[in-house]
Amino acid sequence: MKPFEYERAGDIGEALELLRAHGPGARILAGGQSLLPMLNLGLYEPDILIDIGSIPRLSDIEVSGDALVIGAMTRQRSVELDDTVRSRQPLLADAIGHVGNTRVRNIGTVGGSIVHNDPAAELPLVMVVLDANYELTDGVSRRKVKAEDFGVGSFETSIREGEVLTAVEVPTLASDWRWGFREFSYRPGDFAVAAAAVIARFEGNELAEVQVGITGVGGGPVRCASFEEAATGRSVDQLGEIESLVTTEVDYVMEGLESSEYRAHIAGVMTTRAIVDAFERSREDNRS
Amino acid sequence: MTEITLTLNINGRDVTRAAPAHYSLLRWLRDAASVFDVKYGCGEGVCGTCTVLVDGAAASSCIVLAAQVAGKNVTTLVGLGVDGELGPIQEAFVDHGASQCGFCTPGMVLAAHELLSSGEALDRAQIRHAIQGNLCRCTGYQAIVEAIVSLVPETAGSDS
Repeated sequence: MKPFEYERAGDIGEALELLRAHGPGARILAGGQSLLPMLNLGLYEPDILIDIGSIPRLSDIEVSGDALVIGAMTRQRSVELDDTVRSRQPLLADAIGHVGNTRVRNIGTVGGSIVHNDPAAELPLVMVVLDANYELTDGVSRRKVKAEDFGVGSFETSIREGEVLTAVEVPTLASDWRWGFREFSYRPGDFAVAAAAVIARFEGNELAEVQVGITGVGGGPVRCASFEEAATGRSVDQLGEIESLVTTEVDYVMEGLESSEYRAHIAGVMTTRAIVDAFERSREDNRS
Repeated sequence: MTEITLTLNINGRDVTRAAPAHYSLLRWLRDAASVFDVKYGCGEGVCGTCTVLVDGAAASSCIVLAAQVAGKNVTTLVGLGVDGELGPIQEAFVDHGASQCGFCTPGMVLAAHELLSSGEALDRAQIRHAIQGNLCRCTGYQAIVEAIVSLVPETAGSDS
């Protein structure tokens, strides 16, 4: 590993100043659970890391109307165990439990994972499915970016130089909507071959409204607009026929140990299972 | 190479050392503070060998900078001992033969400590789920799970 310097920022203003002062060799350090492995493997060689992980008030979870506002430095484990998140946005609480292992989630942050934008990461996927917004600042102005517009490709986002992510605004789950999350990976804690996140409203056995996204398949999370359209009004037991539509919006299906056809197939299967999970939850709630 | 001076509370004792700024917590503990019960495994946070507790929560010390946890309480395996004797989790590991080559053992014991500190009842499936981030390449998981089970008085559920 190439040696680098370290500065701990006391607030966002100081972090942005340090970022400007040190130029392109400076990198923001959040929890470091993706960055540090990259440094250990020699994949990246920064001159200085600017630690924003202990900035006060960047790790608050607040309810604001129909949304949760989660500070960018909130530890993933805190979100996973937070009673408010579990009751108001259970999809997020469940999916975040699939990130890495407990040790990663104890240190890793919500904002760090989103800005890192690993093409198989769970958090960007959930944010895209839930129509979350990201709050960014460069110290002078603030802007909000839709989660779907934030990711550009593998490990690439539309964050600008000299900008940091400060918070994530996640819509809460409406009372008549249900959720599902399915992930296929070869080992627990490993990156997903494919994962699907779903929220849906059911009328009888039919999908009245549905929001679906997949990840692991293309260069990042994808909202499956064609599948959503085809699934709306369809019975839950007839989703197999339209499963292949989940990759309509994916430009290029990645190949790994498996062929792109297999990866696409898995994405479809995970989607159907996530919807069936959501449906089972709606039936359980109707019984009780 | 820029050195920075940090104070960490290690197993209840404040330790101050000057070391290069880029040192991971693992390297700081071993190379600067001579704490050798923390082991290097994969360097990617995947295997759990280098597990320590930071303010009671498990962390992979190979992918945390020492500077990130300055001023915090760091517990290593030795810190779970009681008055120089083995602590209850360590005793249970000995009693159940839950250690073969021993390299994963510090991480396993610390993972077990974090898991058991909630005080909640756990079944075997929950225990297996909780230690899934700790790899034993001797594959001696059964004895490890049994050692942890023995510390949960009201263990429910069947063997899974």
